[in-house]
Amino acid sequence: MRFSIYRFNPDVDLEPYMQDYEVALQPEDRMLLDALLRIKTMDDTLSMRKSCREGVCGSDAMNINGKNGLACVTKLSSLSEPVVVRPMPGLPVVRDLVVDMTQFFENYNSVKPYLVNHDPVPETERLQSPEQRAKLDGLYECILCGACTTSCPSFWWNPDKFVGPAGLLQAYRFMADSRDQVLDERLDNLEDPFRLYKCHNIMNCVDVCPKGLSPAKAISKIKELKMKGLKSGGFKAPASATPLAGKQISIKRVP
Amino acid sequence: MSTGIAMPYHQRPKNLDLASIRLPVPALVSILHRASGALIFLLLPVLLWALQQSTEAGGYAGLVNMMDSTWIKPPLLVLIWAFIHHFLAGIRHLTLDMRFGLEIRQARRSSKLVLVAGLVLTLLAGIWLW
Amino acid sequence: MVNLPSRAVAGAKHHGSYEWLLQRFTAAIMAIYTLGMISLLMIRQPDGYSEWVAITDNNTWRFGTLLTLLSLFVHAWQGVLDILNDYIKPLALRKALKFATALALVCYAVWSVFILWKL
Ligand code: HEM
Ligand code: HEM
Ligand code: SF4
Ligand code: FES
Repeated sequence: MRFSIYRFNPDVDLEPYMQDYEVALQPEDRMLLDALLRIKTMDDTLSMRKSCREGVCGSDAMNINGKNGLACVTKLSSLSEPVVVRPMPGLPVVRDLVVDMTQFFENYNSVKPYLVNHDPVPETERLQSPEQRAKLDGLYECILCGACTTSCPSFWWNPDKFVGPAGLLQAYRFMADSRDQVLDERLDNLEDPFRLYKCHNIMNCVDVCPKGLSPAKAISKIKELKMKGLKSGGFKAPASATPLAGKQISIKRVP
Repeated sequence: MSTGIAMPYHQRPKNLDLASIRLPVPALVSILHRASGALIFLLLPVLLWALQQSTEAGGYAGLVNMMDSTWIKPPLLVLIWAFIHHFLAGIRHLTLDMRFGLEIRQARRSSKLVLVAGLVLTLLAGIWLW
Repeated sequence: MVNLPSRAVAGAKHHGSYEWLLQRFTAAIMAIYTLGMISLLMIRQPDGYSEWVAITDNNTWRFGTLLTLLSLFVHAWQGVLDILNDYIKPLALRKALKFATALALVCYAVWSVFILWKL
């Protein structure tokens, strides 16, 4: 099977280039990840991320024949040759198919993707009714692979200002959680011309998500909540609107 | 040796070779919505000028004359298409905002409809005008 | 009160919701006017200057058109701003183009009044 793979090693290459491979696949090679690992036995300089090899860890998202997806769940039989494999668009390339996800996770962090509840910590779990729990379906399953965000043109042009589909899906995941108590602050957190409103319903995110989720739906739900808020008094930017202040960055940028 | 951090962060390449990235129909409709909006914006002075001309007899006759010349037809058809496409894609956008047709299958279908209807209506408008 | 991270870009005076709503509101006005005008033209089929004047020489048409044109200018302002924010990265150039756009649109608005009332 023929492959054309994006190569870039910052220690030796000035520019990225495409390298062709002709590979004799074995019967057990069924997914694109199998083929890439087969290639790695021939050329061990080829770099990529992978871990679970079953579509749950989110580490091997890449651009496959022009479309973002997980190599480990992409059937070789579904791909036309030569299979063009490139890193996810719009993020700096560390090497070959490995991109620097710092910006992606910073944006994710910026929506406070965790439960905020000021009640005293109960002795047992904070319970939800089955209906309340059902509201999280289609939201909690995200594996943060980045396929959606890096397929979004709005993210390409404003990676540091637009939160992107994955981050907004998680923003809504906590807005929709019956145990969370800071809905208004979460909405205010997205109040500027970029963070939420750079979404133009392009819907590439839904097109690529390997878990079949719909960030577009979550985003439009957030916009609906925004409009409800506008009716009842309007939204303001948080009082302490110093740019980047209070931003919690757990991942440090590679120097 | 090969640490991958020899190159400063901001100089690292990004994969943004747009020709290599698939463009689904909804995304095509979206970028054409933007392009058509920009085109109409750039042509606003021409449109206002035409409106001004039409309000007096001499100018009106001049516009009617212009409509009969061949050279005006291609640019005018492009402008008509731009308006119709922007209009239809805009209506689709508003329905999505009201949370209709947000399923990916429906969104794909409505984007194809907008693309085709824009071209067909442009053709009809051309026939109606000439 | 948790201290949610504040917005990454703009200063406090920048919103997003109002602009978003305004873009949709103006779009709706233009859409209604467009459909109205097209039906009117289909029904009346004006042929010649005098019939065109019959349609346009009244204040209902003038105010409707002015409202639509003003909507258009507001709508185009938001739209062009969006485009410039995406593609024009050098700050000075972006600011200059925004200023030029605003100036042009204000001129168009004044011009529209002159056109409609033949001043
Ligand atoms: C001394 C005994 C054991 C050790 C040291 C051990 C260690 C581990 C470790 C390190 C993991 C990975 C956790 C992660 O996701 O990061 C794991 C996962 C797991 N273990 Fe064990 N384990 C032990 C016994 C067992 C037993 C007896 C069972 C079943 C009866 C079991 C069932 C599992 C399962 C189902 C997972 C996957 C959980 C997941 O999806 O994250 N383990 N174990
Ligand atoms: C006929 C009525 C119109 C409708 C229904 C309409 C609808 C819309 C909508 C819903 C948007 C928002 C798109 C988004 O948020 O991504 C938009 C954007 C835009 N519109 Fe219109 N519009 C109309 C007329 C016009 C006209 C006459 C112009 C020309 C100046 C124009 C220029 C723009 C521009 C430049 C954008 C920004 C495109 C972008 O950000 O990608 N629109 N339009
Ligand atoms: S929404 Fe889907 S594509 Fe986006 S990060 Fe989550 S799993 Fe990946
Ligand atoms: S290797 Fe874990 S998602 Fe593919």
